[in-house]
Amino acid sequence: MSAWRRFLRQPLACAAAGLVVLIVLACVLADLTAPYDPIKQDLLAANQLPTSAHWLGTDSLGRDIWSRLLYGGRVTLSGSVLAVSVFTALGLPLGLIAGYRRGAVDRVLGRVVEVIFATPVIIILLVVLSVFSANLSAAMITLGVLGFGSLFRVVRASTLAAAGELYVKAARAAGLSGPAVLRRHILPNLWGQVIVQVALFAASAILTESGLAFLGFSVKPPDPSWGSMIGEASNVLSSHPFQLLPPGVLIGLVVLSLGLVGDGVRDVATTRRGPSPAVPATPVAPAVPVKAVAAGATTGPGTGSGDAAGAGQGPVSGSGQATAAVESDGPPADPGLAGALGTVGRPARSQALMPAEDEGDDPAVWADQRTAGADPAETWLTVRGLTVEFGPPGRAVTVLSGASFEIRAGEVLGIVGESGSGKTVTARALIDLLPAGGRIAAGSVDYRGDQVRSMGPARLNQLRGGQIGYVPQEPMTTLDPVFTIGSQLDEVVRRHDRGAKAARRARALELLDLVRLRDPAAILRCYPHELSGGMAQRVGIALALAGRPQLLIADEPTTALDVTVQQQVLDLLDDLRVQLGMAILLVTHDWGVLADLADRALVMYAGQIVEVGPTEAVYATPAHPYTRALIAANPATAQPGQPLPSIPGQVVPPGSWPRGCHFADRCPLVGPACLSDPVALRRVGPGRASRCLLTDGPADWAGPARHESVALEVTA
Amino acid sequence: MTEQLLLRVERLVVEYPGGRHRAPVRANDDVSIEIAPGETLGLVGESGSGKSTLGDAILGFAPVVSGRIWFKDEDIAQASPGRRRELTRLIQPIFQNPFGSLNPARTIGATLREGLLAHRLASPSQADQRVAQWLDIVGLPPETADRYPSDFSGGQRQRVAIARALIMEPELVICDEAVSALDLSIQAQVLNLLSDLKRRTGLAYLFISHDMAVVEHMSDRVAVLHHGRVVEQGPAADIVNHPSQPYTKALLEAVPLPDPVAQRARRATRKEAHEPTQ
Amino acid sequence: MIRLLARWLATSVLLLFVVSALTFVLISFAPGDAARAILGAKGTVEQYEELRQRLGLNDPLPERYWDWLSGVLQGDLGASIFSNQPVSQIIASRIAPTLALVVGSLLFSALVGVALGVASAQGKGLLGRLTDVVSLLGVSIPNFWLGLVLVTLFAVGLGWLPATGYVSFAASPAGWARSLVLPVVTLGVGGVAIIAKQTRDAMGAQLASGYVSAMRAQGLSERSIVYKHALKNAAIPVTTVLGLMFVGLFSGTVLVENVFAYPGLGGLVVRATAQHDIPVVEGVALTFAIFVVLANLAVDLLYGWLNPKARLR
Repeated sequence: MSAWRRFLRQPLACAAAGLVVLIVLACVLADLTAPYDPIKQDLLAANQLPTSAHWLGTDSLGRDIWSRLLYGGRVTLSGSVLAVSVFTALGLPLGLIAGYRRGAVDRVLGRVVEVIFATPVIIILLVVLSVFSANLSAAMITLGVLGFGSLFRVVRASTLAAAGELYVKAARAAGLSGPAVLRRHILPNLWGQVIVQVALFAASAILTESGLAFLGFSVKPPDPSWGSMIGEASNVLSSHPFQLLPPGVLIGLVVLSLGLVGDGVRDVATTRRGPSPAVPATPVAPAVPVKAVAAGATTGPGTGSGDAAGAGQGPVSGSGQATAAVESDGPPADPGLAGALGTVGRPARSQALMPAEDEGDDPAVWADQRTAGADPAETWLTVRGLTVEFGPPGRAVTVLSGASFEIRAGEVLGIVGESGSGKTVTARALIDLLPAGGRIAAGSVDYRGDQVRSMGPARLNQLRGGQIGYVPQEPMTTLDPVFTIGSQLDEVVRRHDRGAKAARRARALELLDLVRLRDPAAILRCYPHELSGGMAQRVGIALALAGRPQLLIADEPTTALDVTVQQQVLDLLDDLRVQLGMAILLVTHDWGVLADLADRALVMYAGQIVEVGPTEAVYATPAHPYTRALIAANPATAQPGQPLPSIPGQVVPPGSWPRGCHFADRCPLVGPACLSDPVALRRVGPGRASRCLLTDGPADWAGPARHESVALEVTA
Repeated sequence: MTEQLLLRVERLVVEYPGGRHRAPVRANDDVSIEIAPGETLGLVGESGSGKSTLGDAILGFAPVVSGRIWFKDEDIAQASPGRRRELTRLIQPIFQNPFGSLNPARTIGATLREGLLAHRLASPSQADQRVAQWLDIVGLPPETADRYPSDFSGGQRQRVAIARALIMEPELVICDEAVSALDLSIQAQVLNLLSDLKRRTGLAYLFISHDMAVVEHMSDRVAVLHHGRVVEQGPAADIVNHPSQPYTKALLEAVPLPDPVAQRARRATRKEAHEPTQ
Repeated sequence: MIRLLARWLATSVLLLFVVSALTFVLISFAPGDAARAILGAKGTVEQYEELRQRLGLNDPLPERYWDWLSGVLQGDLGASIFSNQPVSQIIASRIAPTLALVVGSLLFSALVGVALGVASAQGKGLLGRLTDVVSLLGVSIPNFWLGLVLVTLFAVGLGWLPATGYVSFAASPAGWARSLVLPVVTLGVGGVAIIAKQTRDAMGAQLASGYVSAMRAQGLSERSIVYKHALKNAAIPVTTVLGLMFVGLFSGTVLVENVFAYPGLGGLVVRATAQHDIPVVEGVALTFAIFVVLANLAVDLLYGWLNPKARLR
């Protein structure tokens, strides 16, 4: 959609733009629009309130205020146009040059602007006015010169930013000349910012011009201008206060409108082009419009029956938030979607239990769990039918659908999935800490007998950090940049241990020692930006451990780190769970990291748990076609020189999930039954479950992987 | 000898100038590599190892202090801007971030046409044909040309980026972390596409990645970079199976294998080795 | 720290020089001159020439600027052409009201603006709307007009506050406060609008950042997260705005003091400009510039205190 059309979609900004145009036109055509001569006095009709003859009344000399406003606008507006022209003529080219050429030119111009910014503008203007004997044009040109700095800075910054964009580098690598790059790739990104600045400066020019006119530095007395009319009105302020209103309100309206236009353009310019409302170009996976499906009951304790865990959604309008979040850079961040189920196996991974899922999970899964001799006291966290939605009610998009699993004492449960599978949402929902716009729509999270969803804020804060620690993904961005590590650590320690200052410091040092940081005392004095990524992540873990949690949620704890540092952090986590007897919920997209640490693996795809079981078993004999295909697609295990067995197509985004199996459109085994109804999680072995109708377990998987890449099919 | 090689980098030193209060950063220090026509050289290293800088130097985006970059028979290390523009037809990049590398304000078609027209390789109508043809080759429908990048997923955008590079029919493509931002299932598709294109056109890749497994899968030969220096290079299988340098070994061992049994054994060995020091 | 001071000093000297020289040069180009203004229409040509000579108006421009500058460096700003009173004395007698006005407005904008911004960033619906309206209207209404409206309402209409003038603190603290209310509000409203918007945007960005959700995950209280951590981070960009606003406030005094017949530097400079009283205009311009320079230093220091990354450089 064109930027122009997006602007037109903003009624307020459009109305404001219309108003400005109308006022400008009325003033320009004052000879036609004004009912009276602006300087014709009629002392008999002086100081009138609005009448049908004088719409806005008359001033103390009986002149028609409405007519004077129209003629006065010419003075004010033409002065502003002059100032804006100078402002743009200086700010735009100089900003472009400084931003594109950089170097000495940039430094010199930057200095000049710095000085101009600190100049008391109005004094210079007053001087100019006295020099050029109240010549408004001279003052307005000066105003443009003194004001260009704001446009210069914005243009320079945008140019710098645009010049650093990867697509500009790509355009240069394609052989485009400098001017062509500037014209095609940099300038188009600037126009929005320029219009915003011009609108804001025009507003301030009008205010300044009016102010000068108010002081008497504009047109000579009988002639009107908006500011001088306020000055005239102020002389009769106590007897006829009404006369103050017309010029003041008009100036306010024009300035306000320019501000609104600026805001509107800013919105258009800064929101990146969203997905066009047309059909997604996705060559695969047409969004299957799904009628709301009465999804199987969430499994309550024991038998399931209960809330409809909304599995299918109606055709949901652009899954704005969810998809936007998914499109983050870097390795799979996975903000998006869906559900999890997991069970819990003990570290010994003998017999694990199956949790059930929504959509009518196989009772056998539950039977398996009950007969597995699980000791309920050892289950720390029980999740049932957990469903998470994003977006406003009514247009909400489900990103996690009916996840059920448990975490037991001392185990490492790994949730693995690609972007948009719902793994991070699952982890964050456990401590009710979803990103803005997200909420738990159904299901329960039970921490040792306490329902997390019914906890008040105080109890919830106690749970967070106290019983359940959370290690976030990006170590650098999860520490407050303006406080020292010592101060941040102390704040968290203080929440859990009410000791004296010395005792808290000792605890902080102990925590840093626990995460194997050398010279903890020095670290306490550091600010986050003084640490390396690996050190920052260790601090992140120390913060999570401050409350002596029994369960540690580690959300992609090593994704941002180099492999050698990753190894150290994984070793640390492995040591800590033994040393502290913690359970760990590990969220990752990396099958290597999962294999390294997890006792049990829980595989997620498009908002659902598709497979769960002891890690070794899942790797050795994957039960679900997706798990199988993904393990095969890993270059680490592939045959060198052979094409990778890739999975065709792409993940169905939330909001477009089909009624049946979410993996159906990419699955080589798909049959009619897969499409018609939601697929339940079924028991496929001791402690194992898979959400597939066509495989009854690992035994079904004899043949070689049968996936060919889309590319090969197309190019063949 | 030189005639056989497509690219020969000799003792390259790249240094980013410092500021008034910042020391200059030497990103490549005495780096020498070679790529034969039709060959893939993998370049691995951790962040800050200088691997992307080497790619940038070959593309003319990094300040070369000394050393030579022979492209066929020509030293392009200090090529003039004009010559650089001509060279862009023969050396093309594919960048990591498929969201940043396409101008959001231009249609896919406009982006793909750009290089062809800049080099006058085609008239506008021929360019449109070539665009359609290449969209087909990378597995995207023809109507893609009229759409904007925001309509596409990461994997699809990376296909567009590949088409943009290959539509110029270059002889060398620098893949700078070209699949690092992609999910595993999509990554496999893109890797297959890259391999397939190489088979069909005989081009050569400089394949830069931090992911050992991906590099091993894609490369004929591998060079390992550490602190701006090449610590080891050789045939991919040799480097991976019999690394001769401790750093290469440490790097390889740090990559967790997608195999729980092997991974557990590894950790046990590692811990034993570290026990005395801990 | 030393680097910061050195940089500040360099910029400041440059700024003071530019402002004073520019003013000086501009004024000397004025078609009407001080001699003419003093004598009025009655003076003879001889009287006029003699006065010009006495005032030094016939000397070359650089010489006159140099004379003035060397005087300034010795603490002598010259004397008013009209009253013959030393400029430093005139400025000293009027500086307190202007400072009270500017500092008062700055505090008013900062306190009200930050409070509104913080409250609306936390998603309180009505307050958010109010902030929207205030931040739009605050920068749209001409402040001299607002001053007149406030006078009409609260002084003329309701009689709660004095319409004009200034009462010194020493004379009557209560009277001083009352005399400041309307001018401070008038001058500060624009600042409230700007700061409220900046604070809201900055707080919004901070509250959506990674460390905030990490702190929630650690069970820290919402109060500490919002008022200690997010607010301190958000204060960094707001501080920058505060610095720029300070310059604007000095400019604003010129209009606002006029509206309230307020005996400060703003009113002085308007009159002096009209009379071509060069020493006075120069003196006021220099005074303003010095305050701006000091304010910049304060902002730089505050910035460094808030932002550890800036401290290193």
